[in-house]
Amino acid sequence: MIECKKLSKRYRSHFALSNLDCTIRENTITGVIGRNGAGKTTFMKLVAGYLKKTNGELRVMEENPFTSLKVSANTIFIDDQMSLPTSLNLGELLDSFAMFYPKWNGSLANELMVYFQLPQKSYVQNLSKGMRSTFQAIIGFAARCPLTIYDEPTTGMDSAVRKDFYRALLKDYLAFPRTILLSSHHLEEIENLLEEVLIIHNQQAFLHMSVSELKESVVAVKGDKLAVDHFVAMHGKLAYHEMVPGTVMAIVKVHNHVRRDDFPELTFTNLTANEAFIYLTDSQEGGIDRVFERSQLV
Amino acid sequence: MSLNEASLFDVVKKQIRFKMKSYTGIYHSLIILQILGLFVASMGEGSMSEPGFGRSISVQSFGSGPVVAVTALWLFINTLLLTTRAYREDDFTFVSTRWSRQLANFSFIAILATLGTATAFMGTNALKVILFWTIGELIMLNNLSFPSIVESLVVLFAYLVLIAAVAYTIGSIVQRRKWLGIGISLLFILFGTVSIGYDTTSINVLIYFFMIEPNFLVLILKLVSAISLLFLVSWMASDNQEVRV
Repeated sequence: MIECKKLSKRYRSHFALSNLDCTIRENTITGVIGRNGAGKTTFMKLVAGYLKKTNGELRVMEENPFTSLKVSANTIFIDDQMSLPTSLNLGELLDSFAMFYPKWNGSLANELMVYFQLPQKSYVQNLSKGMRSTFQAIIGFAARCPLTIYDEPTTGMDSAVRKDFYRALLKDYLAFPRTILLSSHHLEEIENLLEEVLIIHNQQAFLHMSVSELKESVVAVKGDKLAVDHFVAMHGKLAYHEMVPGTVMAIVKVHNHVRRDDFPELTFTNLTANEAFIYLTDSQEGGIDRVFERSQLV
Repeated sequence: MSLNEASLFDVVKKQIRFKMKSYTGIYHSLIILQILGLFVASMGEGSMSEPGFGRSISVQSFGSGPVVAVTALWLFINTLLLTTRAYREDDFTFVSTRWSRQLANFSFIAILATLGTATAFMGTNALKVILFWTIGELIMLNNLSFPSIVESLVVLFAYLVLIAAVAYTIGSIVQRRKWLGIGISLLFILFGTVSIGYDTTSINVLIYFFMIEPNFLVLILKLVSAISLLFLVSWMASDNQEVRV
Protein backbone atom coordinates (compact mmCIF):
# COMPACT_ATOMS: atom_id res chain seq x y z
CA MET A 1 0.00 0.00 0.00
CA ILE A 2 2.73 2.45 1.00
CA GLU A 3 6.35 2.26 -0.03
CA CYS A 4 9.04 4.76 0.77
CA LYS A 5 12.71 4.70 -0.01
CA LYS A 6 15.06 7.33 1.35
CA LEU A 7 12.08 9.64 1.76
CA SER A 8 13.07 13.10 2.93
CA LYS A 9 11.11 16.24 3.68
CA ARG A 10 12.68 19.58 4.39
CA TYR A 11 10.90 22.65 5.76
CA ARG A 12 13.00 25.66 4.80
CA SER A 13 16.15 24.87 6.74
CA HIS A 14 15.51 21.80 8.84
CA PHE A 15 14.69 18.25 7.88
CA ALA A 16 11.45 16.87 9.29
CA LEU A 17 12.15 13.49 7.75
CA SER A 18 15.36 12.19 6.31
CA ASN A 19 16.00 8.95 4.47
CA LEU A 20 12.96 7.15 5.77
CA ASP A 21 12.53 3.62 4.45
CA CYS A 22 9.44 1.58 5.07
CA THR A 23 6.79 -0.57 3.45
CA ILE A 24 3.30 -0.78 4.84
CA ARG A 25 1.24 -3.71 3.66
CA GLU A 26 -2.41 -3.59 2.73
CA ASN A 27 -5.02 -4.27 5.41
CA THR A 28 -2.91 -3.82 8.51
CA ILE A 29 -3.26 -1.52 11.47
CA THR A 30 0.07 0.20 11.91
CA GLY A 31 0.86 2.45 14.81
CA VAL A 32 3.07 5.36 13.88
CA ILE A 33 4.92 6.06 17.07
CA GLY A 34 7.53 8.62 17.91
CA ARG A 35 8.50 11.30 20.36
CA ASN A 36 7.34 14.87 19.87
CA GLY A 37 8.79 16.33 16.70
CA ALA A 38 10.05 13.01 15.41
CA GLY A 39 8.30 13.41 12.07
CA LYS A 40 5.14 11.31 12.48
CA THR A 41 2.74 13.93 11.24
CA THR A 42 5.02 14.92 8.37
CA PHE A 43 5.19 11.29 7.27
CA MET A 44 1.42 10.92 7.34
CA LYS A 45 0.80 14.19 5.52
CA LEU A 46 3.21 13.09 2.81
CA VAL A 47 1.31 9.82 2.48
CA ALA A 48 -2.01 11.68 2.26
CA GLY A 49 -0.61 13.85 -0.55
CA TYR A 50 -0.80 17.09 1.43
CA LEU A 51 2.92 17.75 1.38
CA LYS A 52 5.45 17.41 -1.39
CA LYS A 53 8.49 15.27 -0.72
CA THR A 54 11.90 16.87 -0.96
CA ASN A 55 13.87 13.77 -1.90
CA GLY A 56 13.54 10.04 -2.20
CA GLU A 57 10.69 7.91 -3.35
CA LEU A 58 7.14 7.59 -2.08
CA ARG A 59 4.47 5.43 -3.66
CA VAL A 60 0.98 5.10 -2.28
CA MET A 61 -1.32 2.71 -4.15
CA GLU A 62 1.45 2.64 -6.76
CA GLU A 63 1.10 6.37 -7.42
CA ASN A 64 2.67 9.61 -6.30
CA PRO A 65 0.21 10.83 -3.65
CA PHE A 66 0.94 14.53 -4.21
CA THR A 67 -0.67 14.51 -7.65
CA SER A 68 -2.85 11.44 -7.55
CA LEU A 69 -6.61 11.67 -7.63
CA LYS A 70 -6.81 7.96 -6.91
CA VAL A 71 -4.91 8.39 -3.64
CA SER A 72 -7.09 11.33 -2.60
CA ALA A 73 -10.29 9.45 -3.42
CA ASN A 74 -9.20 6.43 -1.40
CA THR A 75 -7.63 8.18 1.57
CA ILE A 76 -9.04 10.01 4.53
CA PHE A 77 -6.84 11.95 6.92
CA ILE A 78 -8.24 12.64 10.36
CA ASP A 79 -6.44 14.88 12.81
CA ASP A 80 -7.34 17.52 15.35
CA GLN A 81 -6.69 20.36 12.91
CA MET A 82 -8.93 18.92 10.23
CA SER A 83 -10.44 21.79 8.28
CA LEU A 84 -14.23 21.68 8.06
CA PRO A 85 -16.49 24.37 6.59
CA THR A 86 -18.24 26.29 9.34
CA SER A 87 -21.28 27.06 7.22
CA LEU A 88 -22.63 23.51 7.32
CA ASN A 89 -24.04 21.74 10.34
CA LEU A 90 -22.90 18.27 11.35
CA GLY A 91 -25.61 16.49 9.40
CA GLU A 92 -24.82 18.46 6.25
CA LEU A 93 -21.13 17.79 6.72
CA LEU A 94 -21.84 14.07 6.87
CA ASP A 95 -23.87 14.41 3.67
CA SER A 96 -20.92 16.10 2.00
CA PHE A 97 -18.61 13.28 2.99
CA ALA A 98 -21.16 10.80 1.72
CA MET A 99 -21.11 12.55 -1.65
CA PHE A 100 -17.33 12.28 -1.98
CA TYR A 101 -16.78 8.81 -0.57
CA PRO A 102 -18.80 6.17 -2.43
CA LYS A 103 -18.44 3.52 0.28
CA TRP A 104 -19.84 5.87 2.95
CA ASN A 105 -21.69 4.01 5.65
CA GLY A 106 -24.50 6.43 6.48
CA SER A 107 -26.38 4.26 8.93
CA LEU A 108 -23.24 3.67 11.00
CA ALA A 109 -22.51 7.41 11.02
CA ASN A 110 -26.02 8.21 12.24
CA GLU A 111 -25.99 5.52 14.91
CA LEU A 112 -22.64 6.75 16.21
CA MET A 113 -23.89 10.34 16.22
CA VAL A 114 -26.78 9.26 18.44
CA TYR A 115 -24.56 7.14 20.67
CA PHE A 116 -22.07 9.94 21.28
CA GLN A 117 -24.89 12.48 21.66
CA LEU A 118 -23.83 14.71 18.80
CA PRO A 119 -26.83 16.65 17.51
CA GLN A 120 -27.05 16.74 13.70
CA LYS A 121 -28.10 20.38 13.81
CA SER A 122 -25.17 21.78 15.72
CA TYR A 123 -22.09 23.33 14.14
CA VAL A 124 -18.56 22.12 14.34
CA GLN A 125 -17.23 25.41 15.73
CA ASN A 126 -19.59 25.06 18.71
CA LEU A 127 -18.36 21.62 19.71
CA SER A 128 -15.93 21.07 22.54
CA LYS A 129 -12.49 19.74 21.70
CA GLY A 130 -13.35 16.19 22.67
CA MET A 131 -16.69 16.24 20.86
CA ARG A 132 -15.03 17.55 17.74
CA SER A 133 -12.50 14.74 17.89
CA THR A 134 -15.34 12.27 18.32
CA PHE A 135 -17.19 13.71 15.32
CA GLN A 136 -14.06 13.44 13.20
CA ALA A 137 -13.49 9.87 14.34
CA ILE A 138 -17.02 9.04 13.19
CA ILE A 139 -16.15 10.43 9.77
CA GLY A 140 -13.11 8.18 9.70
CA PHE A 141 -15.18 5.09 10.44
CA ALA A 142 -18.03 5.85 8.09
CA ALA A 143 -15.88 6.85 5.10
CA ARG A 144 -14.55 3.29 4.86
CA CYS A 145 -11.54 4.46 2.94
CA PRO A 146 -9.02 1.82 1.88
CA LEU A 147 -6.37 4.00 3.51
CA THR A 148 -7.50 5.63 6.74
CA ILE A 149 -5.04 7.84 8.59
CA TYR A 150 -5.65 8.94 12.17
CA ASP A 151 -3.15 11.44 13.55
CA GLU A 152 -3.67 11.76 17.29
CA PRO A 153 -7.40 11.07 16.94
CA THR A 154 -8.17 10.98 20.64
CA THR A 155 -7.03 14.51 21.49
CA GLY A 156 -9.44 15.93 24.04
CA MET A 157 -11.58 12.82 24.36
CA ASP A 158 -12.31 11.66 27.88
CA SER A 159 -11.17 8.19 28.83
CA ALA A 160 -14.58 6.55 28.37
CA VAL A 161 -14.89 7.92 24.85
CA ARG A 162 -11.29 6.96 24.10
CA LYS A 163 -12.04 3.40 25.10
CA ASP A 164 -15.15 3.39 22.93
CA PHE A 165 -13.16 4.82 20.06
CA TYR A 166 -10.53 2.08 20.15
CA ARG A 167 -13.18 -0.58 20.43
CA ALA A 168 -15.13 0.88 17.54
CA LEU A 169 -11.97 1.13 15.47
CA LEU A 170 -11.21 -2.54 15.98
CA LYS A 171 -14.77 -3.68 15.33
CA ASP A 172 -15.01 -1.60 12.19
CA TYR A 173 -11.62 -2.83 11.00
CA LEU A 174 -12.68 -6.44 11.42
CA ALA A 175 -15.92 -5.83 9.55
CA PHE A 176 -14.26 -3.84 6.75
CA PRO A 177 -10.53 -4.55 6.66
CA ARG A 178 -8.49 -1.63 5.39
CA THR A 179 -5.10 -0.09 5.86
CA ILE A 180 -5.02 2.08 8.95
CA LEU A 181 -2.25 4.34 10.13
CA LEU A 182 -2.74 5.44 13.70
CA SER A 183 -0.46 7.76 15.60
CA SER A 184 -0.74 8.36 19.27
CA HIS A 185 1.32 9.45 22.21
CA HIS A 186 -0.33 6.77 24.26
CA LEU A 187 1.19 3.57 22.95
CA GLU A 188 0.02 1.77 26.09
CA GLU A 189 -3.57 2.48 25.06
CA ILE A 190 -3.27 1.22 21.53
CA GLU A 191 -0.70 -1.54 21.73
CA ASN A 192 -3.37 -4.22 21.98
CA LEU A 193 -4.98 -2.87 18.86
CA LEU A 194 -1.96 -2.66 16.64
CA GLU A 195 -0.49 -5.32 14.47
CA GLU A 196 2.64 -3.42 13.59
CA VAL A 197 4.48 -0.41 14.88
CA LEU A 198 6.52 2.00 12.86
CA ILE A 199 8.73 3.90 15.22
CA ILE A 200 9.98 7.16 13.77
CA HIS A 201 12.90 8.55 15.67
CA ASN A 202 15.25 11.36 14.72
CA GLN A 203 13.43 11.86 11.40
CA GLN A 204 13.99 8.25 10.35
CA ALA A 205 12.20 4.94 10.46
CA PHE A 206 13.82 3.57 13.55
CA LEU A 207 12.00 0.28 13.81
CA HIS A 208 9.23 -1.34 11.87
CA MET A 209 8.05 -4.58 13.41
CA SER A 210 5.11 -6.30 14.98
CA VAL A 211 4.09 -5.33 18.49
CA SER A 212 5.15 -8.68 19.93
CA GLU A 213 8.58 -8.38 18.35
CA LEU A 214 8.91 -4.94 19.87
CA LYS A 215 8.09 -6.30 23.31
CA GLU A 216 10.55 -9.16 22.92
CA SER A 217 13.32 -6.94 21.73
CA VAL A 218 13.71 -5.17 25.05
CA VAL A 219 14.00 -6.85 28.45
CA ALA A 220 14.85 -5.80 31.94
CA VAL A 221 17.47 -7.93 33.68
CA LYS A 222 18.25 -7.92 37.35
CA GLY A 223 20.89 -9.71 39.35
CA ASP A 224 24.49 -9.80 40.43
CA LYS A 225 26.55 -6.95 38.98
CA LEU A 226 29.09 -9.19 37.27
CA ALA A 227 26.48 -11.41 35.68
CA VAL A 228 24.47 -8.46 34.47
CA ASP A 229 27.56 -6.74 33.09
CA HIS A 230 28.43 -9.91 31.24
CA PHE A 231 24.96 -10.09 29.74
CA VAL A 232 24.84 -6.40 28.89
CA ALA A 233 28.16 -6.64 27.06
CA MET A 234 26.62 -9.10 24.60
CA HIS A 235 23.63 -6.89 23.84
CA GLY A 236 22.78 -3.23 23.74
CA LYS A 237 22.57 -1.30 26.99
CA LEU A 238 19.64 1.11 27.23
CA ALA A 239 19.57 1.86 30.94
CA TYR A 240 21.66 0.80 33.89
CA HIS A 241 20.93 1.30 37.53
CA GLU A 242 22.70 0.00 40.61
CA MET A 243 19.91 -0.61 43.09
CA VAL A 244 22.04 -1.68 46.06
CA PRO A 245 25.79 -2.18 45.92
CA GLY A 246 26.44 -5.39 44.01
CA THR A 247 22.92 -5.72 42.55
CA VAL A 248 22.14 -4.10 39.24
CA MET A 249 19.10 -3.67 37.07
CA ALA A 250 19.58 -2.99 33.38
CA ILE A 251 17.31 -2.46 30.41
CA VAL A 252 18.75 -4.26 27.44
CA LYS A 253 18.03 -4.36 23.76
CA VAL A 254 18.56 -7.97 22.80
CA HIS A 255 20.17 -8.61 19.46
CA ASN A 256 19.08 -12.19 19.04
CA HIS A 257 16.79 -14.59 20.75
CA VAL A 258 17.80 -15.13 24.38
CA ARG A 259 17.28 -18.48 26.00
CA ARG A 260 16.60 -17.38 29.53
CA ASP A 261 17.45 -20.79 30.96
CA ASP A 262 21.07 -20.14 30.01
CA PHE A 263 21.27 -17.37 32.59
CA PRO A 264 19.95 -18.87 35.81
CA GLU A 265 21.52 -16.13 37.96
CA LEU A 266 19.55 -13.35 36.23
CA THR A 267 15.92 -12.34 36.64
CA PHE A 268 14.22 -11.30 33.42
CA THR A 269 11.21 -9.04 33.30
CA ASN A 270 9.19 -8.31 30.20
CA LEU A 271 8.38 -4.73 29.35
CA THR A 272 5.24 -3.35 27.80
CA ALA A 273 5.51 -2.08 24.26
CA ASN A 274 5.29 1.45 25.58
CA GLU A 275 8.17 0.99 28.02
CA ALA A 276 10.23 -0.68 25.31
CA PHE A 277 9.56 2.27 23.04
CA ILE A 278 10.51 4.82 25.67
CA TYR A 279 13.79 3.12 26.46
CA LEU A 280 14.62 2.62 22.79
CA THR A 281 14.11 6.25 21.92
CA ASP A 282 15.53 7.79 25.05
CA SER A 283 18.34 9.98 23.84
CA GLN A 284 19.84 10.81 27.21
CA GLU A 285 21.03 8.19 29.58
CA GLY A 286 19.48 8.68 32.96
CA GLY A 287 16.55 10.64 31.57
CA ILE A 288 15.17 13.81 33.06
CA ASP A 289 16.56 13.00 36.52
CA ARG A 290 20.06 13.33 35.22
CA VAL A 291 19.35 16.83 33.92
CA PHE A 292 18.26 17.99 37.37
CA GLU A 293 21.18 16.30 39.07
CA ARG A 294 23.58 18.03 36.71
CA SER A 295 21.99 21.44 37.14
CA GLN A 296 22.25 21.19 40.92
CA LEU A 297 25.97 20.53 40.71
CA VAL A 298 26.63 23.79 38.94
CA MET B 1 -10.58 -3.32 0.46
CA SER B 2 -10.81 -2.57 -3.23
CA LEU B 3 -9.86 0.87 -4.46
CA ASN B 4 -12.32 3.31 -5.98
CA GLU B 5 -11.45 4.41 -9.45
CA ALA B 6 -12.23 8.11 -9.33
CA SER B 7 -12.78 10.02 -12.54
CA LEU B 8 -11.59 13.62 -12.70
CA PHE B 9 -14.85 14.85 -14.20
CA ASP B 10 -16.86 13.21 -11.46
CA VAL B 11 -14.74 14.63 -8.65
CA VAL B 12 -14.79 18.14 -10.14
CA LYS B 13 -18.57 17.94 -10.38
CA LYS B 14 -18.81 16.95 -6.71
CA GLN B 15 -16.44 19.72 -5.68
CA ILE B 16 -18.57 22.29 -7.51
CA ARG B 17 -21.67 20.95 -5.80
CA PHE B 18 -19.95 21.13 -2.43
CA LYS B 19 -18.85 24.72 -3.03
CA MET B 20 -22.32 25.81 -4.11
CA LYS B 21 -23.76 24.28 -0.97
CA SER B 22 -21.23 25.38 1.61
CA TYR B 23 -20.18 28.89 0.51
CA THR B 24 -23.43 30.42 1.67
CA GLY B 25 -21.85 33.71 2.71
CA ILE B 26 -21.20 34.53 -0.94
CA TYR B 27 -24.91 34.65 -1.78
CA HIS B 28 -25.77 36.76 1.24
CA SER B 29 -23.11 39.32 0.37
CA LEU B 30 -24.38 39.52 -3.22
CA ILE B 31 -27.91 40.35 -2.03
CA ILE B 32 -26.70 43.01 0.39
CA LEU B 33 -24.32 44.61 -2.10
CA GLN B 34 -26.88 44.72 -4.90
CA ILE B 35 -29.45 46.37 -2.65
CA LEU B 36 -26.78 48.92 -1.85
CA GLY B 37 -26.03 49.30 -5.56
CA LEU B 38 -29.72 49.84 -6.33
CA PHE B 39 -29.89 52.48 -3.63
CA VAL B 40 -26.94 54.35 -5.09
CA ALA B 41 -28.30 53.98 -8.63
CA SER B 42 -31.69 55.37 -7.61
CA MET B 43 -30.00 58.58 -6.50
CA GLY B 44 -29.05 59.25 -10.07
CA GLU B 45 -25.87 59.74 -12.01
CA GLY B 46 -26.08 63.35 -12.86
CA SER B 47 -28.47 66.18 -13.42
CA MET B 48 -28.66 69.34 -15.37
CA SER B 49 -31.06 72.17 -15.15
CA GLU B 50 -31.94 75.15 -17.27
CA PRO B 51 -33.20 78.08 -15.29
CA GLY B 52 -35.63 80.30 -17.06
CA PHE B 53 -38.23 82.94 -16.40
CA GLY B 54 -41.24 81.50 -14.77
CA ARG B 55 -40.23 77.91 -15.44
CA SER B 56 -37.13 75.81 -15.41
CA ILE B 57 -36.13 72.47 -16.85
CA SER B 58 -34.25 69.99 -14.79
CA VAL B 59 -33.14 66.61 -16.14
CA GLN B 60 -31.83 63.88 -13.98
CA SER B 61 -30.26 60.77 -15.50
CA PHE B 62 -30.06 57.31 -14.03
CA GLY B 63 -28.08 54.26 -15.02
CA SER B 64 -27.39 50.75 -13.88
CA GLY B 65 -23.66 51.43 -13.51
CA PRO B 66 -23.59 51.17 -9.69
CA VAL B 67 -25.37 47.80 -9.76
CA VAL B 68 -22.83 46.38 -12.19
CA ALA B 69 -19.97 47.93 -10.24
CA VAL B 70 -20.98 46.34 -6.93
CA THR B 71 -21.43 43.00 -8.69
CA ALA B 72 -17.90 43.23 -10.06
CA LEU B 73 -16.59 44.19 -6.64
CA TRP B 74 -18.45 41.29 -5.04
CA LEU B 75 -17.01 38.81 -7.51
CA PHE B 76 -13.49 40.20 -7.16
CA ILE B 77 -13.46 39.96 -3.38
CA ASN B 78 -15.06 36.55 -3.16
CA THR B 79 -12.77 35.06 -5.79
CA LEU B 80 -9.81 36.44 -3.91
CA LEU B 81 -11.18 34.69 -0.82
CA LEU B 82 -11.48 31.39 -2.72
CA THR B 83 -7.71 31.21 -2.89
CA THR B 84 -7.21 31.63 0.85
CA ARG B 85 -5.98 28.95 3.16
CA ALA B 86 -9.27 28.08 4.86
CA TYR B 87 -11.04 27.33 1.58
CA ARG B 88 -8.04 25.41 0.29
CA GLU B 89 -7.81 23.23 3.35
CA ASP B 90 -11.55 22.56 3.29
CA ASP B 91 -11.17 21.24 -0.25
CA PHE B 92 -8.45 18.83 0.76
CA THR B 93 -10.45 17.53 3.72
CA PHE B 94 -12.61 15.94 1.04
CA VAL B 95 -11.41 14.43 -2.22
CA SER B 96 -9.29 16.85 -4.22
CA THR B 97 -6.11 17.23 -6.17
CA ARG B 98 -4.56 20.55 -7.06
CA TRP B 99 -5.72 20.17 -10.65
CA SER B 100 -9.30 19.18 -9.79
CA ARG B 101 -9.44 22.11 -7.38
CA GLN B 102 -8.30 24.53 -10.08
CA LEU B 103 -10.97 23.22 -12.46
CA ALA B 104 -13.66 23.29 -9.78
CA ASN B 105 -12.76 26.82 -8.71
CA PHE B 106 -12.89 28.18 -12.25
CA SER B 107 -16.20 26.43 -12.87
CA PHE B 108 -17.48 27.90 -9.64
CA ILE B 109 -16.28 31.34 -10.76
CA ALA B 110 -18.26 30.89 -13.99
CA ILE B 111 -21.34 30.00 -11.95
CA LEU B 112 -20.88 33.06 -9.74
CA ALA B 113 -20.41 35.25 -12.81
CA THR B 114 -23.63 33.84 -14.28
CA LEU B 115 -25.40 34.61 -11.04
CA GLY B 116 -23.88 38.09 -11.01
CA THR B 117 -24.91 38.76 -14.62
CA ALA B 118 -28.45 37.56 -14.04
CA THR B 119 -28.95 39.53 -10.83
CA ALA B 120 -27.36 42.67 -12.28
CA PHE B 121 -29.71 42.43 -15.27
CA MET B 122 -32.69 41.95 -13.00
CA GLY B 123 -31.40 44.74 -10.78
CA THR B 124 -31.47 47.07 -13.78
CA ASN B 125 -35.11 46.22 -14.32
CA ALA B 126 -35.81 46.64 -10.64
CA LEU B 127 -34.25 50.09 -10.90
CA LYS B 128 -36.71 50.97 -13.66
CA VAL B 129 -39.60 49.88 -11.49
CA ILE B 130 -38.33 51.86 -8.52
CA LEU B 131 -37.89 54.98 -10.63
CA PHE B 132 -41.27 54.46 -12.24
CA TRP B 133 -42.93 54.58 -8.84
CA THR B 134 -40.88 57.37 -7.31
CA ILE B 135 -40.56 59.73 -10.25
CA GLY B 136 -43.54 60.67 -12.29
CA GLU B 137 -42.08 61.71 -15.61
CA LEU B 138 -39.71 59.04 -16.75
CA ILE B 139 -38.17 58.77 -20.18
CA MET B 140 -36.71 55.35 -20.79
CA LEU B 141 -33.87 55.24 -23.25
CA ASN B 142 -34.06 51.56 -23.86
CA ASN B 143 -33.86 51.00 -27.54
CA LEU B 144 -31.90 47.79 -27.41
CA SER B 145 -33.17 44.95 -29.55
CA PHE B 146 -33.35 41.47 -28.11
CA PRO B 147 -30.11 40.22 -29.81
CA SER B 148 -28.19 43.21 -28.52
CA ILE B 149 -29.50 42.58 -24.99
CA VAL B 150 -28.18 39.04 -25.25
CA GLU B 151 -24.90 40.35 -26.62
CA SER B 152 -24.53 42.81 -23.78
CA LEU B 153 -25.27 40.10 -21.23
CA VAL B 154 -22.61 37.85 -22.76
CA VAL B 155 -20.11 40.69 -22.64
CA LEU B 156 -21.01 41.50 -19.04
CA PHE B 157 -20.55 37.83 -18.14
CA ALA B 158 -17.15 37.74 -19.87
CA TYR B 159 -16.02 40.93 -18.13
CA LEU B 160 -17.05 39.49 -14.77
CA VAL B 161 -15.13 36.27 -15.45
CA LEU B 162 -12.11 38.34 -16.47
CA ILE B 163 -12.27 40.33 -13.25
CA ALA B 164 -12.59 37.11 -11.24
CA ALA B 165 -9.71 35.52 -13.13
CA VAL B 166 -7.53 38.53 -12.29
CA ALA B 167 -8.51 38.18 -8.61
CA TYR B 168 -7.89 34.43 -8.64
CA THR B 169 -4.48 34.87 -10.22
CA ILE B 170 -3.45 37.59 -7.78
CA GLY B 171 -4.73 35.44 -4.91
CA SER B 172 -2.87 32.37 -6.12
CA ILE B 173 0.37 34.29 -6.41
CA VAL B 174 -0.10 35.88 -2.97
CA GLN B 175 -0.58 32.43 -1.47
CA ARG B 176 2.81 31.33 -2.79
CA ARG B 177 4.92 34.48 -2.73
CA LYS B 178 3.18 36.96 -0.50
CA TRP B 179 5.25 40.01 -1.36
CA LEU B 180 5.38 39.30 -5.07
CA GLY B 181 1.58 39.20 -5.23
CA ILE B 182 1.15 42.31 -3.13
CA GLY B 183 3.86 44.05 -5.16
CA ILE B 184 2.14 43.29 -8.46
CA SER B 185 -1.19 44.57 -7.13
CA LEU B 186 0.40 47.75 -5.76
CA LEU B 187 2.16 48.35 -9.05
CA PHE B 188 -1.15 48.11 -10.91
CA ILE B 189 -2.86 50.50 -8.50
CA LEU B 190 0.03 52.96 -8.62
CA PHE B 191 0.22 52.80 -12.39
CA GLY B 192 -3.53 53.19 -12.62
CA THR B 193 -3.55 56.27 -10.39
CA VAL B 194 -0.71 57.93 -12.24
CA SER B 195 -2.20 57.29 -15.66
CA ILE B 196 -5.56 58.94 -14.98
CA GLY B 197 -5.83 61.76 -17.44
CA TYR B 198 -3.35 60.35 -19.92
CA ASP B 199 -4.29 58.27 -22.90
CA THR B 200 -1.12 56.52 -23.80
CA THR B 201 0.20 54.95 -20.61
CA SER B 202 0.47 51.20 -20.84
CA ILE B 203 -2.29 50.58 -18.33
CA ASN B 204 -4.69 52.76 -20.26
CA VAL B 205 -3.76 51.02 -23.48
CA LEU B 206 -4.52 47.76 -21.71
CA ILE B 207 -7.89 49.03 -20.53
CA TYR B 208 -8.80 50.39 -23.95
CA PHE B 209 -7.76 47.10 -25.47
CA PHE B 210 -10.57 45.42 -23.55
CA MET B 211 -13.07 48.26 -23.25
CA ILE B 212 -13.14 49.86 -26.65
CA GLU B 213 -13.78 47.23 -29.22
CA PRO B 214 -16.72 47.70 -31.54
CA ASN B 215 -16.71 44.18 -32.93
CA PHE B 216 -18.54 41.77 -30.64
CA LEU B 217 -16.69 38.65 -31.76
CA VAL B 218 -13.25 40.23 -31.57
CA LEU B 219 -14.07 41.48 -28.08
CA ILE B 220 -15.13 38.02 -26.95
CA LEU B 221 -11.97 36.56 -28.49
CA LYS B 222 -9.82 39.07 -26.61
CA LEU B 223 -11.58 38.33 -23.31
CA VAL B 224 -11.42 34.56 -23.74
CA SER B 225 -7.69 34.64 -24.49
CA ALA B 226 -7.00 36.89 -21.51
CA ILE B 227 -9.02 34.60 -19.22
CA SER B 228 -7.19 31.53 -20.54
CA LEU B 229 -3.84 33.18 -19.93
CA LEU B 230 -4.83 34.02 -16.34
CA PHE B 231 -6.08 30.47 -15.83
CA LEU B 232 -2.66 29.21 -16.92
CA VAL B 233 -0.74 31.63 -14.71
CA SER B 234 -2.84 30.85 -11.64
CA TRP B 235 -2.40 27.13 -12.28
CA MET B 236 1.35 27.56 -12.52
CA ALA B 237 1.26 29.43 -9.22
CA SER B 238 -0.77 26.83 -7.34
CA ASP B 239 0.39 23.61 -9.02
CA ASN B 240 2.98 22.76 -6.39
CA GLN B 241 1.21 24.17 -3.40
CA GLU B 242 1.27 22.17 -0.21
CA VAL B 243 -1.71 22.06 2.13
CA ARG B 244 -1.87 21.77 5.88
CA VAL B 245 1.77 22.73 6.31
